[in-house]
Amino acid sequence: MNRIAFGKYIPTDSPLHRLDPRAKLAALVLLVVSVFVPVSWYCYIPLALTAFLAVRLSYLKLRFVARTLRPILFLMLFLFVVNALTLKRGEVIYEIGSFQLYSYAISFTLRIGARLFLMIVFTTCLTATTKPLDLNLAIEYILRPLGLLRFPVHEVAMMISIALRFIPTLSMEAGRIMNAQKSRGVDFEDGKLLEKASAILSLAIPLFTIAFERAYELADAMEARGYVPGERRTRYRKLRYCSGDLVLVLFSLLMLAAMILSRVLL
Amino acid sequence: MTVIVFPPFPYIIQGMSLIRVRDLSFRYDENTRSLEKISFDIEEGDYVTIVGRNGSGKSTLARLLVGLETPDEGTIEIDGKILSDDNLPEIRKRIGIVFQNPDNQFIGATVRDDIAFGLENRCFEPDVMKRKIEKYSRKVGLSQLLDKEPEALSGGQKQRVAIAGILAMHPDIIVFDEATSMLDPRGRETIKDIIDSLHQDRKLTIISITHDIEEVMNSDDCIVLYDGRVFDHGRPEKVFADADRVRSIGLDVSFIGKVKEAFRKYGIVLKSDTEDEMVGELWQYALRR
Repeated sequence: MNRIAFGKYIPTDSPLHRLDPRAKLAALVLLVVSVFVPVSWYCYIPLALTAFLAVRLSYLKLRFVARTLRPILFLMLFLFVVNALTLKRGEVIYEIGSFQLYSYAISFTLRIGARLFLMIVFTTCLTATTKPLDLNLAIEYILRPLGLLRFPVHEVAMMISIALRFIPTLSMEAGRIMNAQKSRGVDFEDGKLLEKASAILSLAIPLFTIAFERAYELADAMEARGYVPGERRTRYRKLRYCSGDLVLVLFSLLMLAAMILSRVLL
Repeated sequence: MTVIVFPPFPYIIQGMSLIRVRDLSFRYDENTRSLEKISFDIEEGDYVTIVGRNGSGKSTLARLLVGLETPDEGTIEIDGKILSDDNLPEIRKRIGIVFQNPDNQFIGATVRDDIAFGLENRCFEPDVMKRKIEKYSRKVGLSQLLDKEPEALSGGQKQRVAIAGILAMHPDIIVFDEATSMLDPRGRETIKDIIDSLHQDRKLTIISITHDIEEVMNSDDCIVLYDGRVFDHGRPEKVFADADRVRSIGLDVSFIGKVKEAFRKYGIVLKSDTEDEMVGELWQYALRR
């Protein structure tokens, strides 16, 4: 479980940690859009520099970032194979038998790889420096206009925060059930696909039953403490803007504008 | 001549019990009977334990008292107001409940957020909440753990968080529904000490559902439920005086009860109901010999 680096919060006190989650979320959206504006390759240089800066400003170890990027290597390999077989544009670089590898297949794969790379680095810089709870507050804030359309923004935010709260509890529970089932002879590691599926079922069913039981008890506890869905309530945690947030959002906006301009003008 | 009925008159003859339960019946479905015509009074500031074996209706009674279930028949009166859907929000402000499972009542992401949850529902301003959180976390000894997440806490600490969350809302009554039964011995002692001090120092009315015979003997008043009915109600020393009777309804015999039983085997009948009396009686007996 702990091996998954992507999306993990790293508790340090970096400049990025101190920024408002709403600003960080807005900046992420702007930067990811800039990454996906189709531009010539040298436009990736400022984006890459931004990504590097973001990593430095969030005090992340390069090894940690590299770990989050590992999954895209496989994706790239797969993409390259597909592209090599289907994209027949540009110059022929390599020929073996009837198969020809075109330059465009390589440049296209690299370009997609660069975009995924940048996107994941930016996202990691957000999730590693923002507690899930604060991120949830930011999402709630950004979704607030939907409340006018009778969308239950507060309730959805409450659901997300409870889901986040129970992830570790349920994963511990899953570990316990797994051990209990192993001691009864269920084999989770070996066996054919069908056997594995039935082993997983022996984990899933008790886990679901327990999750529902917990949900009922939690609902009682919430009700007993005066929670009424849809009713007005105040919030203990308040988000606060600072000047750094403005700088971040303006910088991201400029980056997007620059990418769009370079696309239009060049 | 007309008779003028002085308004508090009915209360004077009935006494001013804080909680009055009258002919309360409840069943979850057609075939099972949970509670059958239960009546009792609880006085303000009392520490009342409710005992009975599993399935006797204790937890159902707790759920009815805090308005999580609606009675089929009968009434629950809290401070003169009959519990109903209309006054439930008002009454909920006065009565809090700590449940059995420490994990399933932890709502917030951290200790701080969890204590804040009830305050948020009552629409307190953030700075007021902050003050209350600090004050009540200190009362239960959690000041150092305010930013901890539930996984980093022991069961006893989580129950303390639940207590702090309720205290922050200034209730008059706190119901503990087997709140110590899932804790290790140390956690259990801490929670019992906190319950004691809430009763002694803060003069709160405590209703505790428990299997812990020590806690029962420590309480002012004990209600024994058996098969959905009130089997006995009174001072715990009296209720637990007769070992055979206590055992017949599936409960533990108190220490005093066990001592009496042991002496009876040798033909010695002791009459004491409390430990102090028992010590005196045994000395007298020994000196007479």
